[in-house]
Amino acid sequence: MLNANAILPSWIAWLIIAGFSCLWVALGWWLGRKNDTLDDYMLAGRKVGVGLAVATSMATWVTSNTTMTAPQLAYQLGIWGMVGYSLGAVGLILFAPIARRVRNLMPEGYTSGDFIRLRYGVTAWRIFLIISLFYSFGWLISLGMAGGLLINALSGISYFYGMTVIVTICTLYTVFGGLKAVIGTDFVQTILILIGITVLAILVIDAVGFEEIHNTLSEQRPELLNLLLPASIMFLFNNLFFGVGEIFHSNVWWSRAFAFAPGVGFRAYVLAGIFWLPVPVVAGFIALAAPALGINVPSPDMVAPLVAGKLFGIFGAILVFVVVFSALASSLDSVLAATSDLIVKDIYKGHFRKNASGNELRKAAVWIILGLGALTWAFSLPRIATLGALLHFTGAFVASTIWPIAIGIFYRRGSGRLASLAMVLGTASGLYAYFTIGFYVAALVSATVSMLVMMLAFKEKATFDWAILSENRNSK
Amino acid sequence: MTFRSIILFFIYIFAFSYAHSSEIEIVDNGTTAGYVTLAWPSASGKTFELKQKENGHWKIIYQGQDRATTLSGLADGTYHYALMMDGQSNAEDEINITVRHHTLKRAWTFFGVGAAMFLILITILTIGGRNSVNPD
Repeated sequence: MLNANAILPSWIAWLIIAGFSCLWVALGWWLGRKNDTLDDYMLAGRKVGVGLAVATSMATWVTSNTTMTAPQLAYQLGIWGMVGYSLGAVGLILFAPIARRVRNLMPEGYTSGDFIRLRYGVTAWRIFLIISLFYSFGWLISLGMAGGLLINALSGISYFYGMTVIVTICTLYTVFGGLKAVIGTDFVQTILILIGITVLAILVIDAVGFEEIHNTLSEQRPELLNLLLPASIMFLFNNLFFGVGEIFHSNVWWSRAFAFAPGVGFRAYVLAGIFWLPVPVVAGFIALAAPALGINVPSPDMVAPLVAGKLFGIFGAILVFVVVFSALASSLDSVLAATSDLIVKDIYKGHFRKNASGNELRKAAVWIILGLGALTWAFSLPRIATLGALLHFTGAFVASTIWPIAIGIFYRRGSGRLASLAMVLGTASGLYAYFTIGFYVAALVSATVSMLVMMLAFKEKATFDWAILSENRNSK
Repeated sequence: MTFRSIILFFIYIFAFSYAHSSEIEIVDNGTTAGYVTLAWPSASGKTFELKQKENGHWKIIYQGQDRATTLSGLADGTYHYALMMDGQSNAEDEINITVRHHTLKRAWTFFGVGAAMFLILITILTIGGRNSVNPD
């Protein structure tokens, strides 16, 4: 452990973990007790209302990355670092028209993979599945790792125990309650996250003050206030397109679009984006107080907990612990459920058991969630990369899917061959930029190359028949 | 020939290890963005002091038991750091960091590409959304 000073006594941390674990599992069991059909289990009966829809979209997008990486970027890249991170909200807002369109075109669809298969054919579908599963698995591992790191840094409890507890709890309640449990717990977690972050920001401003923070930064770290810091300027649109790529392709957001009641998706995603926008700025601001407080930051993704702990002792540490624990759980359960849906429908049924019944698929979903939980645990164990490295590496992959989805869902132009090429060339160029320039341009380069390829679609004839997308309805 | 290559390989590894025997390591290199995380995970001792040379004088920038620190907001230039363990310094436990930010021309190029692509995406979604009400 690089940080020598754990703030929270381990018995308090265990108490919080035990309390929340019981709450989440009980809530998951209670919410899932009336699940009868596959639609109930995977898509919460397809009738989620606006309130829960906004809460689940926002809570899922407030991940450990928002609460820990946004402060890290403020600490490393300054003002534009946290503002750039908040542009992740654009992805949610831009997904709103797609969610509405998807609900209309595929009223009985299940996954983002369904759309790619029907719209672009088998080759593009398989490339998309590789990208999507790689991203989902990377996200799951980063969440498992973040849980272990957070619990270790704040309480001294070993990484192994912390990571094991959070992965096990989230897997259990997702198995019990399916998407209903995920959405229900997300609602409670959203409230906890918003209250916690707001209280922390107010306390930091009250205790340190804008003037002192500004003066110390001007004197010791002037580049953090530099609005023309080159890397930050490069980072702005990169983060925007990374967020757009994550949301446009990931089944986490598609499964919600299918689960929301008709007419809800558009409003839910716009409102969630607007409510999410200030969260990284508030969380990031906390990090800028670190130099004024003379805090040493051994690992930049731990800057927010360190500031809270230094300023408010055990109270601050408990507050951060609850916020990040809620953020982690709200995302981990969502990714588990959505990735399991993708594997059940696109791999298990799509490739191996084409005639599987709804009952068989529901049973398979339970085993797949358990398997995913176990794999997440196994891969999180050796801490194969840092959180930031793992996160930004996936940017090169997901940004390549933006244009095939945006064009494919609204236009009858664009073939499967073109979409496949856009995803492959986009990913390859994004990876090249990641290794030769820096993490802060990988998604931007990937999206640019993918766009240039997909623009050729407008030279093709408009031949796609939208009726093909409602195949699920006919085959059911 | 093969034997000679193996010998040369080990000489190279040895020379490389010797030349980089400082206890201070760069664990997160963001020198083109003005930040860097320095760590000394295997340094002996319980308390550490990290000093930075400024105008020919050493200034303590960290003192305590942590085994890493993140420096950020650094302007272009070369920075010289030294580590003291339990009050003892060793000439080998020093490191030079050169910060060279990307040029503004490169930064604005990426910004411009991003902004243009963002506008195209908005246009595609807006026109597509409108047409989806009246399909083409």
